[in-house]
Parts: sequence; structure tokens; C-alpha cells
Amino acid sequence: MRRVIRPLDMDQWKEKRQQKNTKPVDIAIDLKDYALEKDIGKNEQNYRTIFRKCSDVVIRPFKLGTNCEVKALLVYVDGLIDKSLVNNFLMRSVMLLMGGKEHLMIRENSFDLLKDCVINIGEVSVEDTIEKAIDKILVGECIFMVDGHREVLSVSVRGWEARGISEPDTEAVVRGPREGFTETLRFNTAMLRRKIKSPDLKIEIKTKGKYTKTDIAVCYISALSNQGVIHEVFKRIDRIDIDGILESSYIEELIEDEPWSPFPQIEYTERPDVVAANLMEGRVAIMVDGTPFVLIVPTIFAQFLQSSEDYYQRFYLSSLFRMGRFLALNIALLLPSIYVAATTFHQEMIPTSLLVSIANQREGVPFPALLEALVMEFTFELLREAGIRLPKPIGQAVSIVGALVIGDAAVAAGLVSPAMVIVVAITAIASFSLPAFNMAITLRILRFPITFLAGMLGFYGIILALLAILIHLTSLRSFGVPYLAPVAPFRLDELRDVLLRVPWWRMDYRPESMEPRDKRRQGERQKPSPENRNGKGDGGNA
Amino acid sequence: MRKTKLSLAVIIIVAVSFLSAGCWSRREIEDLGIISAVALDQAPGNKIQLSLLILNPTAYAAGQGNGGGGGGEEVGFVVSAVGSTIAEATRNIATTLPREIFWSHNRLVLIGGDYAKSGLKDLDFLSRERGTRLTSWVMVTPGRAVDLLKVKTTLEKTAAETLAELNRSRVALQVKLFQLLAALSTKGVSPVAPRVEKTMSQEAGAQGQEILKMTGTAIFKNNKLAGWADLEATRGLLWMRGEMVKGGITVGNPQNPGSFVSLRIRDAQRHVNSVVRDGELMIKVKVITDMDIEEIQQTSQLGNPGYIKLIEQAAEAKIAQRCSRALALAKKLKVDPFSFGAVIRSQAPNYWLQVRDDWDAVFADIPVKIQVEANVRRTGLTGNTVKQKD
Repeated sequence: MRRVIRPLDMDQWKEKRQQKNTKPVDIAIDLKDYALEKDIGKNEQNYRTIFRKCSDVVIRPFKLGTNCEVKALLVYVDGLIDKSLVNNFLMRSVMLLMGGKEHLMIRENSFDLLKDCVINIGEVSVEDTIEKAIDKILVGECIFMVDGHREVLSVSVRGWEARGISEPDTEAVVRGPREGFTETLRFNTAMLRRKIKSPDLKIEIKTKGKYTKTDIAVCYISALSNQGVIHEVFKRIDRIDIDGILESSYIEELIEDEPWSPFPQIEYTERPDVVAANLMEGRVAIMVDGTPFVLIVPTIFAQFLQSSEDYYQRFYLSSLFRMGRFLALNIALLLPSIYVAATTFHQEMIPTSLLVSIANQREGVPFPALLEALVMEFTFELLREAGIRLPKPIGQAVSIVGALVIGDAAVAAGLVSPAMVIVVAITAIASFSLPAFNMAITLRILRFPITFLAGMLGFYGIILALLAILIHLTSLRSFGVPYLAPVAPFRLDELRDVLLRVPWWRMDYRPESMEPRDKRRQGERQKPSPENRNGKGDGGNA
Repeated sequence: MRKTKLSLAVIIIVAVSFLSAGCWSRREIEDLGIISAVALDQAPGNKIQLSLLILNPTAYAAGQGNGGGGGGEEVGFVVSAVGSTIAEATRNIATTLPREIFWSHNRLVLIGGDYAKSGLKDLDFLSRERGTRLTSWVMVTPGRAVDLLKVKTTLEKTAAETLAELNRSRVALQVKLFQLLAALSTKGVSPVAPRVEKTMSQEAGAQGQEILKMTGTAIFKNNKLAGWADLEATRGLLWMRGEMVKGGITVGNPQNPGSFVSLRIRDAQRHVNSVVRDGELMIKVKVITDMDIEEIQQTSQLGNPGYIKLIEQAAEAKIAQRCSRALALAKKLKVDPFSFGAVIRSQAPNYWLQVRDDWDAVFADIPVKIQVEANVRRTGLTGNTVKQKD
């Protein structure tokens, strides 16, 4: 006899599913059900309940001193603490040495005695709620409890495996510091503090993320940064309520001014020198634990065309490169669309011999120029993506295949014209020459609709697209600063560090757009000249 | 709900406007028949024969020359059709040409002798059509223009390019389409255009090969061809029109009769003044030119200012003679290619009002005084001629 299985209808299915899910499993622990107790046995029991099935948490009951009179408890997470610190300075002190004060120890005063006289570790704090105690355990501190006392002693013995400081891959320079931020927030703040040795450098910590409890450090120079901007940064960070923050991009997207814009409105860097330079221009840096990428606000458009090296190379070279990057920006955005528009609508603009040459190349190409351009661009983007994701040796193979397929075989097969290959190649090179990866991506994305418009409407379409982009750009703000500053609103004085990079002795003022508290960057008459060198002039504003 | 409907409507309108209005003037580059030159000839029955020199991209890019060797494809080929108007002729051509006629790269409008004599009535198309360029060169040939387009040329890839480059040498006048149209519509100016011909090469080994040559100037009266000026008269025309910018002049050596001095023209200007005296008009033309010595066959007196003066005088005489020839020709044809009429209109407007409708006839009787001032400014790298050993 066959058993017929009837399909369930939706309501029945849901009901059944509900029943399955209500089977008792591990229910989330609500810390409100627990409290710190005076009795060390109860405390131990609480911790064992809270941390059940957490194999990395070590709960160690023991007795103080050599006479073993007072019970104590140590809780920490294995891997987050420095074991030698715990063994040598914590356990050894309280079990064996007791700082020679063993005879003073009774149950009533043992806690204070330990805190004040015995534990020989710098950073020690007292916590009085179980939530705080748990937090401390999870960030890598050691919790120390003594029988008969409700408070817990939190000892900072953090230490874990971390990546060393290395040169940032994405922002390599020929000349300039070769250190980059790491994944550990404390190392990063230390690197910044080493650059700016002033009590005015403030590093305020906020913790965000229900599960990740990520530390976010807001850094600024209190004597320079605009109060309003700092206030705005904290306001925006405070309203974040999210389960986890794994990278600074989480913060970036949660505090942006215009979330739908394709343009990045917050600059990021993994170079301490870049952060230091920006702080000294009155900006605010946001560091996030667990990532080497630091956000910098407010950001203007021109920042994405600047490289830290601009300030380290001679100013002639830097100025030339900056102007070159503006050209590259336009090429990366517009070259395929100009090619498509000129060859399908405005052939009269092409010199005769070039026109004939392109016409010859396109004989036998089966697709219209627009489709050809879009397909080639798309293929290139695919190859680029494949090259990034694959492990290095295979990535190279992909790029060789790509070069052969795009560059040679496709042309030989008559699928695309050589002119189009050149256009795509130049566009790619131009987009790689931009220092900011996020801006290059934006240009790539915009390139496709512009090319499409160019293929539909010719130059008219390109102009329409450019107008739309321009209108959008002028309406953008980053933390109150116009995105296109100092071009719109126009500030001639600031252009010296946007279009050009004038020598340091001419950069007397901080950028006005940031509205810094102290506008003057340096003393007067910093240009080296014979009288300055001889010390006869009043070199500086003293 | 209303908002959804509204946004839907906007999306549809935008999408439809792209799709419907989008590609109406789109044309792929490989579908174009790129015209390099146009020839206009008279056809029987007061019709016009339109010939187009169309570039063949495949052969052009391959750089096979003009199909001379081994039956390769020709870089340019000529298609012709007859019509009452140019527009009608292009329709007739379109019946045989698989590609869209693309005017924008036209470099040259070549006018046949018969057509020029019957009047330039069809230039309207060239100024009205969207694609044609008013900067195309205009040239006139005594024979049939279409034959010149078919000439196989060396060095340049097509006859059109050869003629355009010849024009650039400024041996003769340079006239662009818009200049011709302006001259046609302005009173007191007679249209002119360079004259080109095809001849047989006299070079050894190239006998029988056709070559293109600039041979002077075509002078129009109103819109009809009135006559030709040879190369010498053309030089005179250039001086008198103030268009002499490039070239040289060779005069006899004042020191050594039988040897010569060549001068290179650096700068030339003409100044026209009209004087009305007792109701009689007189025109004074002053030509001022700066020259360099390009070659002297035998001299030892280059340091002598008096000697330079003699050279200058010889040059002045030669230039004046050429100018006179041009003037005599113009008076004979009763046309004014020097645009004296336009000068008089601005300098003696009242007089101009009386004569403007009959200017060509009046011009023939007006005395014209030509004055030339030649200055030798530089003498080149050497001083006196290098003396040869006895």
C-alpha cells in the first residue's frame, strides 16, 4: 500500500515550522538575570552559566597567598591575553609573593590590598556591574574577584597575535613614510600620536555594534578642528545602532550625507602621515578597530585626485601630476563615449585620414560602435575583477589571457576594431592612474550610462549626462562642506593646493573650506632667502 | 498610489523619448560613402553631371597607392549621374552607391569649363546642404572636370588630395567655397578661381602618365566664366589682390648682365586709394613687399647699398610689369577681380552709388596707377658669392 503524502498548505507548513523552532536549544543569555555576588562560589557559577560552551574562556578559582585563606577567581579569554603577563605578574604576585603583605591579609580588606599593594600591573580598574565585567573579559582583560567583595578588578593584560606594521599596498609611495595602519586600534592611535605629539590631539572612543562591540576612535586636534564638525561627527556616530561593524566602510555608509550618491563623500586612507596631515588641516579622522582603513571627514572632491606623495615630491612635479590627473579623470569618464559619439553621429569632426582608417577597421565588425564599446568595457571590467579575486599566480594567467583575447584574438576574429581596443586600453590606464580607488570605481560606473547616452544622442547625450553629474556634484555636501570646494564656491586662495601644489613656504593658510579654528598654518616669510638664512631677517612671525 | 503612477509615467516618457527620438541621425562609420571631391560638368539638355570621388577605406588604409600596381583596389573611385539639380543627381547616384553619401569630408569642388561658361547656378546646394563644408577648395578646369578626378596620382592617394596640396603651394590663387559665394554675391568684386589641367608627363620613364598641374586663374563675370589668366598674369593678380604670401621672383643681376638674382617674398601688402577729381575717378595701387635674397649668380658688391637698391628697382619693375599684365587682362575682359569696386564703395560712396550697377564697364575705362616698393631685407647666410679659383 502506498502512502500518499499530501502537500501542506502554507498555513499548515508555517505551523509545523513554528513547532520545530520552539524546541529548546540554547536560549540567549540575558545579563539582567545575573548580578555580581559577594559569594565567590555563586559568582563562579554565574560565569560558568554565562560562558557555557565558550571553550576559549578560562575560569580559574584559586586561593590567595601561601596560606590559602581567601578564595579568589580569575576569568579571561584565552588568546586575547598575554599569558606570560598573567602568570608572572598576576598569579605569581597574588599566590606566592603577596608583596610581603601576607600578614595583613584578612577576608575583609583583601580586595583593596590586592588592588593597591599587590598587583604589579599598570592598568587596573574596578567594575561594579556584571555587564561591564563581561565586556572587559571579552575585550581581553583579566577579571579578578575575591571572596566577600562584590566589585571586580579588571586587569589589562591584553596581548594577541597581530599583523606587524607594513607598507600599505594600496597607497605605495616612492618617497615618504613606509608605515601603514594595522588591524589593531591601539597600534593605530599610537602611530598617530607619534606623528602629532600634542595634548591637543584628542582621541575619543565610542563602542558600536551589539555583538562586535567595535571601538571607534574619533581623532581631531581640538585647537584646529571646527567645533561644529566634531559635534556633527559624534551626533552621526551616536545614532548608529547595528549588530556589527567589521570595517570602516560600515561607518562610512552610515554617516554619509547623501547615501544614494555614486560619489564617495568620505575619504579613506591607511597611512598615518595622511591622517596626520588632514588633522592638521582641521579635519576629523575616524578609526575603527579591526581595519587599517581610517575615514577622514569632511571630504572634498579634489582630495580624491591627490596623493600623499604630492607633498613629498618637488612641487613642480606634483603640480604637473595633479593637472595630469584631472586629464586622466576626464579620459576615464568620457573617452569611450566621445569615441562612440564621434564615430556614430559626428563623423565630420574626425580628420579625414583617421575617419577612413577607422572606417576600414570597422569593415566587417558585426556590432554597432555603441555595442562594441559596451561589450569591450564590460569585458575589461570582468578581467579586472577576475584578476583581483584570483590568487596572484593565477591572476597573472588571467591577465595574459585577457590581453591576448582583447588585444589580439578579438581583433583578428573581426569582433572588435583595433581603434576600440586602443580606446578601452587608454581609458583603463587613465582610471588606474587616479590615486583613489573608490573614485575610480565611481567613474567606471558612470562611464556606462554616459556611453549609452552617447550612442543614443551623440554629443548632446554626453552634455546631458555631464550636466546631470555637475548638478549632482554641486548639490553634494560632506559634513557641511560643499563637495566641489574650492571651485564652487570659488576660493582662489585654496586652488593653490588643488590644481597646483605650491611650495610649503607659500602654504600659509589652512583650507578655508574646513573652517579651521586657527587659519594660519605657519609663520610669515618662510621662503628661504639669503637674509633668512643668515638669521638677519625676522624669519618667522616671532 | 498616485505617486507610483506618476513615477511610472515619468519612467515611460523618459524611456520612450530615448528609444523613439534616439537614433534617428545615427549612422555607423562603415556605412558612409566618404566624398573627397566633387566635379560639376555640363550635361546635355541644360542638365548637370555630378561626379563624386569616393574614398575606399579598405584600399586607402592599406596604402596601396592609387591602384597603379597589380590590380589592387583603387583608393578612390568616381561615380557620376546626371540631374536637373545637384540634389537630383545625388538621388540618381544613390541608386548605384551602396553607402550613404557623406559630404562633410569633401575637400574640393572642381568645376568643368562648359559648366562654368554656362553659369554657376547650382552652388546653392553646396551652401544649403547640412554636411557640405564651405571651406572646400574651388577650382576650374577648361575641359571636363570628371576627367581630372580619375587621374591616377603619385605621392598623394587621390586626385583630390593632390589638387588640394598643389593649392597649398600658393603658386596660384586659393579660393574656398565661401569666398567664391561671397564674391558672387558682392557688387564690385569679380569671382576668381584657380585653373587646373591634366597634362602628359614629359619625364623620362613616365611618358604618357597623366599629371595634374596648376595653370593659372579662371576669371568670372557675374556667374559666368569670362576668361583665363596665365601663370604670369596670375602672379600679377596675386600682387594686386594683396594675396601674395609665398613665392619668389627672379630678376637680372645688375652687376653682371646675363646672370640672375632670385628673391624670396617675405611679406607683401597692397594699398588701394581712389581719388575723385572733377567727377573723374583714378585708382592708385601701391604694392609694398619685403624680400630676402635667395640666390645670386655672381656678385662682389653685396656690401654696397647702391647695389641692393639696383636689385630692388629691378624687382619693382618686374612686379609692376606683372601687375600691368593682370590689369590689362581684366580691363579687356571688363571684370574687376581686384575688388576695386569694394574699395571705392567705402572710399567714395557717392561715386559708387552712380556706377555700381555698371561697374564692370566703368572699371575698364578708369585709369589705374600701379606703384611698387620692394625692399630687400636680408641677404642669406653668405656675403659675396664664393669666388672660384682661376
